[in-house]
Amino acid sequence: MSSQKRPITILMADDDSEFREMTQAAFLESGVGNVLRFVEDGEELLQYLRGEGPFGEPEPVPRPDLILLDLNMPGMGGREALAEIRNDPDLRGIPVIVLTISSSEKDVYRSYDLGVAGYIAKPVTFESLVEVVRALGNYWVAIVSLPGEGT
Amino acid sequence: MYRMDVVLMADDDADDCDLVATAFGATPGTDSCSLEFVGNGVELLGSLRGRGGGDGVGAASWPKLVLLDLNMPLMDGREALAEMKDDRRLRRIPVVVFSTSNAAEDMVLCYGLGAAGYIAKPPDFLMLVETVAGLCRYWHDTVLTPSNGE
Repeated sequence: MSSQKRPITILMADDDSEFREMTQAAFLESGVGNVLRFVEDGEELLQYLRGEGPFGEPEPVPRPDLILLDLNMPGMGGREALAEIRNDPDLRGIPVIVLTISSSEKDVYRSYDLGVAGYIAKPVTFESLVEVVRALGNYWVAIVSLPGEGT
Repeated sequence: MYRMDVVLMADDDADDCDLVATAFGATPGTDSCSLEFVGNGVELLGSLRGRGGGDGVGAASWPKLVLLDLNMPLMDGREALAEMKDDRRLRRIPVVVFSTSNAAEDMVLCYGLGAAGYIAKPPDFLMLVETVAGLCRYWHDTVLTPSNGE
């Protein structure tokens, strides 16, 4: 609530560099004081989460509190990565929120069937992206408790 | 077709249910929300399984969100959550835990089972109103959710 909690680490998986920069700017603009990190596809996302490859050296990357996941990425896409995360006992407790171009009902259903904690259609304007980031930050930082908080 | 957003709250504490109902009433933009209550996990699953999907009459009552207390008689929230997430049809309903417990092991267990949020019941009404407002802003104004059970 009004009490100050530690900043949470959000890991965003998206292959669109322009949208990544826009999101970074939206987080700054919204005043949500989080640590935002990026990966560019599903394979890199899983590598990050498992501390493999470049993510284990020289020191392990911070475990994210929240994952923002694009669905359509080259190589391993978001659906496949989501299924892997939900099947991994060590990773399944991290809430995943889909942030994608598609607003098709099929994608919404399929994502919730795989256990997402939200599905957001990418906003078109920067102003609406800032609004989305504010609501997201308010919910996940101020309203809900996340595992690992206060540790 | 215009439909209400059903929020189904499972809680055996009638006072907490009343407080949440009042807080919803005090939150702007929740006119389209209909809040329903069940008293334990058995009632929750029974109520959900009795609801239709598709274009049938029951689709209108398919909940957008379940608010789930953890400590309830007959079947507690942990068991109910596990059963919902194990059910092909019910698993897609987002479940937000709303409990007096803020034990770390409950939090880890519930997120692992697929909870879409874990809220420790706020200690006073003003904070409850803030919580309900944040809940609505996220689930009603920001994210897309499955609209029925088909």
